[in-house]
Amino acid sequence: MAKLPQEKILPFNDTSEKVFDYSKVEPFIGKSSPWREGHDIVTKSDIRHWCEVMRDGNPLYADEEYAKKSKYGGIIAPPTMAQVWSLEPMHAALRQFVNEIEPHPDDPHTQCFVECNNQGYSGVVATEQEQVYVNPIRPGDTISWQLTLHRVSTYDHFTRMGIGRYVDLKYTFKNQRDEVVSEMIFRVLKYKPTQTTWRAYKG
Amino acid sequence: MAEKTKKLYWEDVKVGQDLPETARDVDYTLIACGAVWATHDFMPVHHDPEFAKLKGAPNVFMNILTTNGLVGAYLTDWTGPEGELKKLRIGLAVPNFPGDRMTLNGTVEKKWEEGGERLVQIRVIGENQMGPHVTGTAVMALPTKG
Repeated sequence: MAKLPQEKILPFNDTSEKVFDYSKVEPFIGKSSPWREGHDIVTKSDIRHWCEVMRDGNPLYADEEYAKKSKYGGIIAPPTMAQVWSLEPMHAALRQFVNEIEPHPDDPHTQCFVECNNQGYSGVVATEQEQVYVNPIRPGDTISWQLTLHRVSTYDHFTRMGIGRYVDLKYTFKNQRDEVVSEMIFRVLKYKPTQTTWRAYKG
Repeated sequence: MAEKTKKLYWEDVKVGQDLPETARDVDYTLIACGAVWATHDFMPVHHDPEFAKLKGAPNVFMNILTTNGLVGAYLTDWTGPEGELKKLRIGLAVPNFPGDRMTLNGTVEKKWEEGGERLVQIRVIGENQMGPHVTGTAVMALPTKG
């Protein structure tokens, strides 16, 4: 009888793979970043650039005369733009993504991400978002935002990207009059990168 | 394009009705300009193919903000400028790569009145040749014939 190559088969109860330690991320859940202000005010050219790419011809976003007669009394930004002014400028974004230097290392969600990375869940991909639109955004507005670490999955999900945990971030966007313009739940998957990642798309 | 004259009334919308299909070719310009220029997203996986490969992706791919913008424009193109987006939830599945073509479709799922507003719920799906890129649910307020 042929002998089974025992050494090549992992025992069924193999525990060499580290289990995600939830207690390391739990302290950050429900905690918020400080309020931050957009680097730039909302401008008509920001709105035009967006509409050009999206091929959005809505006159509320571009036609002064039409917008003036509308219930808004002037040009507004597409509501889906809310997040735009909260994104990091180029130098900070490249430092973050290329050099892996976090712009706000003390933010609860950043600390949670770092903890996930330390535990091997270093991949990140945006999977889902929900935006609720409360007030219009207008040229001249300054958009501020606060980011709260809303939720982290309590168990591993088996996804196309690999084993991962979903992290829900809650954003609140306000204008300079302290009115909420929109709220967003942004869900990312923090996953363990594997060789199978992206295989499906290589064709 | 949402033309100034276009005005979809709440009364004229039927539950189960389909939105007109539209398609958009996805190329480097849409992905890179969508990320950097329109949505201010400098994550290099959306504009630098070499960086994308370093991260395990075969090429640059569309960022979620551009997807969100395309879905938003698709919805207000259908209603005209008086259709007001109240809520939009989108989920991403397969990425949009250069050379893909995304087809957008929608169906009216629900219609109701709430807090003095005439609302509709729309299910949206954007697919490329690999399958669904985006699936979403939107709530919009529409004008009424009164």
